[in-house]
Amino acid sequence: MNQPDDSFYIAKVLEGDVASFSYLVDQYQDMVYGLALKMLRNEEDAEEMAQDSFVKAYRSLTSYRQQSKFSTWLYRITYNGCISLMRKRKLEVRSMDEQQLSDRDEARLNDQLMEMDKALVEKLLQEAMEKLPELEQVLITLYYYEEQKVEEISHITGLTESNVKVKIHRARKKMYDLLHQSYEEGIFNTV
Amino acid sequence: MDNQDKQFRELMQNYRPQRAPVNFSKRVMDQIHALPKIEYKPVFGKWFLTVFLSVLAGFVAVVLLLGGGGDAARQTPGLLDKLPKAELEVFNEANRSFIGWFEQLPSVLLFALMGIAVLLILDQLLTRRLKHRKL
Repeated sequence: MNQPDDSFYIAKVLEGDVASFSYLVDQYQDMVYGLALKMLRNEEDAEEMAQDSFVKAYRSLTSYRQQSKFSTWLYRITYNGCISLMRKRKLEVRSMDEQQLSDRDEARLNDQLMEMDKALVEKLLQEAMEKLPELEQVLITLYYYEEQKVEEISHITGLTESNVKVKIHRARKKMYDLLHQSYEEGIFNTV
Repeated sequence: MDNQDKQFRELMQNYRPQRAPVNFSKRVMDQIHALPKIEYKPVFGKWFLTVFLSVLAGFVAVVLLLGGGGDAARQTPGLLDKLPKAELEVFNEANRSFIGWFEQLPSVLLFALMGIAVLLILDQLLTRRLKHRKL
């Protein structure tokens, strides 16, 4: 038998079964918290923002028209909340120097990484990710890890689709640069 | 999606985003349960609406039975006039006094009563509609 999907639980919540909302919280808590943490870079703020996002989603559930996925709608709430907080606190989006690898170098590096221990690759990805500006972290996670479509990311971030594509491309290049730097510094040899 | 994208997506499957803190879900649900419930309550109960509408309907029915108001009522016999007069002497007396009283009522008052009836019906409809949306 098929597992009930988000819309099943949303319908139950709308009928008054508040407890059904916990399924949606369980399902998306890591992503919502992760998204908030990437943008706010502070665990306390991220937790508060993630909680607020879920409460806001619950309170606005009647206005959710199911034109987009629930996750897209929820991420948009979180993203907008983070942007508002960042503006309020005047947090600056960090930038970094670009030093791009060629597509061939990227492919080679990718092969080398894929042959390595998964735990080490996970650690390297984590470190590289932390060095990226907030927005690029979000885009990389949504597109490559969450496998959201460009159209959905555009809906979440409010950026145009072409802008999302360009930013994702740049962010991926930066990720490879950072991974390459780690490789060059011989981090891999220490393990 | 180009080849580099596919490769990178494959590589990203090794990435593990930070997990939400322990008990996060419980804390969110506690907050949701603690939210003040906004319930829509009708201004008057169902009984009031029933009684009010019955009185209004009775009022309208009597007016119709008495054959409308004003000069037209005097010229055109009402429904009651068609019944045997002997049995309706008392009733005709009441009819005349009621029409007299009715004629004195300002039309504004009648419109106001009708307006109140419409608002009360809307009130009930809204209550029913919001019952399906419990958030």
